[in-house]
Amino acid sequence: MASRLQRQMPANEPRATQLDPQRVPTTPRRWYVRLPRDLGTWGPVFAFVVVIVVFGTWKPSIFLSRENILSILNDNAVLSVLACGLTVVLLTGEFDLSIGSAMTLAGVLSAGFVANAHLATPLAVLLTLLIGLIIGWVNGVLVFYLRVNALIATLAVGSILEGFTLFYTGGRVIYQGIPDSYIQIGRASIGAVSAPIFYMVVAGFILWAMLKYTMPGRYLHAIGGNRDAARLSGIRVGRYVIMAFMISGLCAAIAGIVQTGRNGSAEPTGGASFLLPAFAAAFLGAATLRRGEFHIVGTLIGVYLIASATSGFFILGAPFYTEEFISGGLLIAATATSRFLSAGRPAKLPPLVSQAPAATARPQGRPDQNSTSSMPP
Amino acid sequence: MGIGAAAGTSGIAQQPPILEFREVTKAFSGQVAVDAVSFSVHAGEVHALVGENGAGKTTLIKVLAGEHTPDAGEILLDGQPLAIRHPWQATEHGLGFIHQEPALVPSLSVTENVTLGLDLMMRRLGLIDWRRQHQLVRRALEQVGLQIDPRVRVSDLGVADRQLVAVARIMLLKAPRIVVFDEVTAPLTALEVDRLFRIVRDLRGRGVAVIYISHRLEEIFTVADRVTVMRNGRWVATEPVAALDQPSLIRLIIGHERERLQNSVNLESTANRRPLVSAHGLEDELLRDVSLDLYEGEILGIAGLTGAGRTNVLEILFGARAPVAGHVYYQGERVRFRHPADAISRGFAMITEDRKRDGLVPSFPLWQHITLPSLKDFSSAGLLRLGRERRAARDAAMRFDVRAWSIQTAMRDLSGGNQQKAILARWLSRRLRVLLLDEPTHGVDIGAKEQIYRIIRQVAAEGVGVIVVSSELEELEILCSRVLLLSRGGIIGELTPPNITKPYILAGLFGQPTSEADAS
Repeated sequence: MASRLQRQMPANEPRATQLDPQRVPTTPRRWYVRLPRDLGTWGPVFAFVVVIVVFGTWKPSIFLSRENILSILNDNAVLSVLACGLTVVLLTGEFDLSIGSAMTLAGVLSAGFVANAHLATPLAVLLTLLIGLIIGWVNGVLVFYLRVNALIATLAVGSILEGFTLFYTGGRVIYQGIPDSYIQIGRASIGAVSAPIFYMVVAGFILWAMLKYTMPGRYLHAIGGNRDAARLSGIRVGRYVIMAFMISGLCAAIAGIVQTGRNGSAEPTGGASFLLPAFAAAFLGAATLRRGEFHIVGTLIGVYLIASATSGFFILGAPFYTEEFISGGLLIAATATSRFLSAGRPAKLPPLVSQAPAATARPQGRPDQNSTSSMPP
Repeated sequence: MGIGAAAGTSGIAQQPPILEFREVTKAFSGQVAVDAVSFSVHAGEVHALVGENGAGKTTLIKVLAGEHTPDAGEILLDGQPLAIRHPWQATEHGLGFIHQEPALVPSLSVTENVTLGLDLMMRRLGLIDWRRQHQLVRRALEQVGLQIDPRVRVSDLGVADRQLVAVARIMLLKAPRIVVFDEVTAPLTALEVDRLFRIVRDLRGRGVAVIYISHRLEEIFTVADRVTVMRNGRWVATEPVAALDQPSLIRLIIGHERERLQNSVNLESTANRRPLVSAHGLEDELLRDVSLDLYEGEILGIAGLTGAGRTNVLEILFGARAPVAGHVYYQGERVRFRHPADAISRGFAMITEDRKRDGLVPSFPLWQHITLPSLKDFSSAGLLRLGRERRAARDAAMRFDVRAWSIQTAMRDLSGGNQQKAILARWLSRRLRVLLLDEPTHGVDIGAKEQIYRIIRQVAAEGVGVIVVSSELEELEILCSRVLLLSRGGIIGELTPPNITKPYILAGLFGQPTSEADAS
């Protein structure tokens, strides 16, 4: 009785369509079938290619030089780590405005640990990462269990963290007494790959794999898709929302530590300038390749689309404030075009045989779509 | 038709009607909701409109309110075609609507709500004179017998008071001519219902035509002068209430059904068996002392009007809602489910009424949706085996005949019936002991309905205990081996075969005591 129940539709029942295995294929429709309706979501990728081709042909010797490429990658690696952590929170339908302040605090605390408290570098790093996790946990508890709106909760937590940073530093930059072992966290390199790029690749890969190949990752998607349905499917939503905030806090702590290492000093306002670019990249990423869903690859594309366009304009001699214009302009362009293009297409492809009443066997399907799909006719 | 039927029997009918529906027809995507309905309403009468859920009453009223444009036919007010394109036009014509869920702004005060959109601003020096404004509203509240401060926010009021605030709003209409009460009494207590009836009679005395919609037939007999019955979108009869008694009205409402003997329930006695699940004295804001037993292999129906607390019972059993009092036992052992996950791990499954709201993740592809509650089975060393997961999902989709382009199709792109089958598939491919179904065929086409019934029967035949909550009485008639009648949060009766039929269920729910309905 309690064994796994195998149920079959009674065999003697007349059915409109005997579903043969090919009717419900495991493979998605071919890319050329999906392309028209997915076109809107390819905008940022397309823009990325355009940026590279245009600047690459205009100033190939500078823009496509090894130094420039590595410097773009390296300069935005910290932002990428921060934005990837943020992506996980955004995916669940929440918000984290505290990441900038958390990053700053992590930077000054870890610097303080090694410079003032003379802790060993690994210990200082571990402690700081732990603090990042705690910040995320507090955010998660406030948002889920105390039901404070995420915008308000994380804004408030961010403000408190800033206050804490100023209290700890007295508003001064920490630059004396930071040992070389700490500086190396931000400046070491393996061949051409600098440490920040390495962290970005590792963090990005782990988060990407977590979201795609693990149970918690799937649960986070479900929570973002429909929280009530997720709960009624047996997902303990609170646990995973808190986990998402902790991932975000951890990434902010990593970003703060690495940034301090790169600079060789910790500024009490260092992270603030990272907050909005991280959001811009994540939102740009949500309009990329998938319709309105936050994902790690999209976020990384977002970061580097803005970065490479900015770099190109700088090479052409654009002034320093160009970056902000590009970032804002691209964000509007990408989200608007993806909305506009997918609105023009049928958002719903009718299922092949869904409407056919069970009792009548009438010819199903729409030949035009059928022939281009991956399903055998 | 309707006019003719009423004309000879009613004195008021000698005057021309104030409101006349002529062949009003409205269809939604091919489904005819209101089919050539004609009848007329006179000034100074209380005209009841009755019918089962889905008979088309609400749609008809929405056509009157201008929320829907009729596909054919017209509505005449004082012999003039009435074309309302916007709610404020209804107000100008003297039409007032009071719905089951009063349309109030919770964050505003009573005064602001009552006068909202009525163009009744008392001004002084170009500013609102709140003192006079409150006075005006206080008078309106007195008329409906509501003694509250008009300055309190509507969100601080109880459901019944809100309902009366909505009524007070009608009192301030410049010249109310037609007032529609749509299922207003559902949340009201007997005392409040009496007060409401006084208002209805008062309106009638002032020459207003009242259209009164209710499921509670005893209210119709108390307050209405004439009654129009609708069934399956069609007009059935318009009769003076005095010419009817309750059984004859019920017959008009449900029609003369052909004999259906599809209920293939096994009539094995439940007396000697131990219940699989039992609930004792469940209480929450809606439920009063609800106890029930569910046996293995049984399909237990719960019938009740909207708002009776049917969903609450299922949610408590599933751990999705905490009862204020009462215990749940599973296989004789007391269980406290704090989260649906606890219930699911014991072999419970629940399918909710509103798929869009809490039944499915619209962005999820079919395969991920099917495997969502069973992901543990596809996880090894912390990683999901996507290939195995997809194959299992595909098998389940095929077994339950989910029709989709591919298992990658997003849930939102499936039809209602296929969404429901996908939801069944996700639960039934698991180890299952108790299946809780809330309106399992809500918004599902006929073909899929039959398939879903077949699946439910098969599940029960395998020993699973099934509870079905449904507003479609045929559904209970066809499926259930026992039906509990739930009314206003309490179980008022139990039906067993051969008495699980629409007339018995309706008679029980509408409070007509029959020996069978009292059998519990």
